[in-house]
Amino acid sequence: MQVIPAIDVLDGRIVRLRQGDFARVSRFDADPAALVRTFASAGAARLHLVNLSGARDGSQQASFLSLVRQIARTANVDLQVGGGIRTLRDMSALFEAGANRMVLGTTLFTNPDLVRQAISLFGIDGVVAALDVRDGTVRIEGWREGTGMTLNEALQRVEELGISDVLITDIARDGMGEGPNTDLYRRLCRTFPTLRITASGGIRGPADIRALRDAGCTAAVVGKALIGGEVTLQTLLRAEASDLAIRVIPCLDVADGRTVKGTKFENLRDAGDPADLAERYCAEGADELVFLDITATREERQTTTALVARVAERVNIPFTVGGGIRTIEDARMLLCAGADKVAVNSAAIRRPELLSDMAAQLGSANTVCAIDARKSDGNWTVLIDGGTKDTGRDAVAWAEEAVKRGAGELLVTSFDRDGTGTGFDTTLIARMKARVSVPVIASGGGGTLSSFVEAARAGADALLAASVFHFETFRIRDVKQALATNSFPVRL
Amino acid sequence: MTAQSPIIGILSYGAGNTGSVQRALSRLGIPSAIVTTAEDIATVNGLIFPGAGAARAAMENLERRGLVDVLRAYEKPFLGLCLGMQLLFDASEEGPTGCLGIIPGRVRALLPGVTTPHMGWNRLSTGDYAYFVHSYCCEPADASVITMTARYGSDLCAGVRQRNFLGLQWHPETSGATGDRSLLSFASLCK
Repeated sequence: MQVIPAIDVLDGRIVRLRQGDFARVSRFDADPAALVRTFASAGAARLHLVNLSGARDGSQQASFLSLVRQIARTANVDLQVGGGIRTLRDMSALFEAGANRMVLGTTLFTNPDLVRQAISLFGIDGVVAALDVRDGTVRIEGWREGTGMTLNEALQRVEELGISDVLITDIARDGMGEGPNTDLYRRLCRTFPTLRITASGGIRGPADIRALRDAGCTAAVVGKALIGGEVTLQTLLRAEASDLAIRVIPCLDVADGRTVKGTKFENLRDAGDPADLAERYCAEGADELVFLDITATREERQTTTALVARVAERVNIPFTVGGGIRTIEDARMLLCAGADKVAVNSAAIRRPELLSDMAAQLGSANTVCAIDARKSDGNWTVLIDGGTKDTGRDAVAWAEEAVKRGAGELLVTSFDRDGTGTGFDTTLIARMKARVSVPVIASGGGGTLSSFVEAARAGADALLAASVFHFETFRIRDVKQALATNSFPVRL
Repeated sequence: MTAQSPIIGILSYGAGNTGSVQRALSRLGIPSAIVTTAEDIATVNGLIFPGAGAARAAMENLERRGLVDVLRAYEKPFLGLCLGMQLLFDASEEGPTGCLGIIPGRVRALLPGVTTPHMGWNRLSTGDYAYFVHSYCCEPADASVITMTARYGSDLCAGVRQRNFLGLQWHPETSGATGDRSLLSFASLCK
C-alpha cells in the first residue's frame, strides 16, 4: 500500500478546497517545493501535484511548469501532475519539466482520442486516470460538470483505453476529514480486479490507510490531513508497515486479596479471585494483565508479593503490577516475584526521581507511570492516593516529565470516566499521544465495543478495562473482533 | 550430572529481572538455575541470556565479571533474549558500546516515526504473534543469520542464529503458547 501525499496549488500557493469548491479554500504558507522535499525525505515514493489554477482555466501556466521543474530538480520522487491538462503540448511541457505521470480526468470524457494519442506517444505508464465521483456519477471540469456516466461506465472506459492506474476521489469526502468511503472502494476493487485503484478523499490517519488496503486499494492519496499537520507522513508510512497489535488489557483491581470494581474508585464490588480471573483472561486472549492493589496506597501498606507470585505462576503473558510502590526496592521485589513491569503513581508525583532510578536500574521497559487524570476547564489535573487527592498538576505536562525521566509506558486513567462505562476520554488520549513517544494505555470508561474502537482511533496503543470483562458484559474476543472490523491489527 | 541437576542456566549479571524467565521455565517444567560466574556457566548444559537495562551497563557488568571471553568461547546452546540477543553483535548505538562481537553487525535505534519502545504483540514472519519490548534493533551484516522478522515501520530482525548462538528479539517468557514452544524447543536442544 503506497501513501501518496497530495499538494494542491492555486496561483502558486498551497491550498485545500473543501469538496472541490473554489469558494471554500484554505491557504497554507509553506513553500510547495520545500514541502515536497520534506515528504520525499520522510519516505514518499510518489507525489500527487494538482494544478488548481490549471483545472480552473483549462491550461498550464508558465509558473506551474517552473514549479514542476523546481520539484523535479530538488526532490527524488515519482511526480504525478494533474489539473487542466488538455493538449499533447501540455503533456509534453509537463514531461519536459520533469513530471513522470499525467493525471487525466476531464480529457478522458471530452477527448478520449487525445488520451489514446498520449498513450501512443508517452506510454501507458505515463497516464493515470482520475475519476471524481459524487452520488455515483462522475464529475469533470474541476467537479463543476457532470458526465452523465456512472462510475462503473467510466471505469469500463478506462479499461478500454488500456489504463490500469486509476485514482478515484469521492467528492463528498474530500477535504472533510471524515474518513474515506471504504465501502465504495471495496466494491470497485472487487468489480474491477485488474485495475490498480488509488483512493482519495477524507483520509485521516493510519486506520483509514489500513481500511483502504483491506478494501483492495493499492495506494491512497492524502492531502488535508498532512498539509494541516493532523498526521505526519512518517507516521502513516510506518503504521502501514506495521503489524503491531492493539493490546486489550483486563485490569485486576485488588483489595484485600480479592478482585474488586467500583465507580470513581469508590463503592467496591467483589469480582472474584485474582488468580482465577488472570488465568481465565489469559485463556480468553488477553494480551497483557494489569494488577493494581488499589487499597495499598491509601492504607499505607505494600502490595502483597505473594499474591503477585500466585497470579504470575498461572499466566504466560506480560503482567504489570501497581499500587503502593514507593521505593525502587518495592519495584525490584515485584519484578523478582514475577511481574514483567511495575507501575508507579502517587510515589512518582511525590518523588519523580523514583522514575529516573527505576529506569536506570530496572530498565525503562519495566517502568510504567500510571496517571489518574481529572478533567478541569479543558485540561486535566493529576490525582493521587487512589483518586482522593488532587495535586493540581497538569496531567499532560506530568506525562512528558515522566517519559523524560525514563517511563517506558503510560497508563492513563480518566477519573471522570472510570467505572461509568461512558467511553474512554479520547481527547485526553489524543493529547497524550501527541506529546509523548512511548505507548499509552487508555483506561477508564470502556463500556461499549465502539468505545474501544474510538480509543484506538484516538491513538491508544492499548485499551484497559475491568468491569465489562469481570461482569462479562462482553468478552475480550468481542473487543478484538470490533477492532479488527475497523482495520486495527489485533492478535486473534 | 544427576537427574536433579539444572540443565539450563539463566545468566544474571545483577542488572535486572531474571524472574520472569525463571518463572516461565518452572511453569514449563524445565529445570534451571541462575548463573553468575564462569564456574557456574561451566556446570549447565545451555545458557539463556535475558539481558536487562541498557546495553552499555550490561557490557560493563559482563566485563567486570570477566564473562566476555567466557561467552565468546561458549560452545553449548545459547539463547539471547531481547538485549541478550543484541549483545551478540559487534556494537550498539545504545551507549554507544562495543558488544560481544559474536555475530557481525550492529544494533541501532528504531526509526523515527514509530512509537518507541516497540511494545506489544507483533506478528512474526513465522505467522505467530510474539511479545516485543525494545527501543533498539539488530542489523546483521549477513542477512542469512536472520531466522525471523516482524514488521514495525520497517522489517525488523526478530531472531538470529549463528552456530550454537540463537537470539530472539522478543520475549518467549511472556509470549503465550508461541513463547512456550520456543523455550521447550531450546530446552530439548540442551539435553
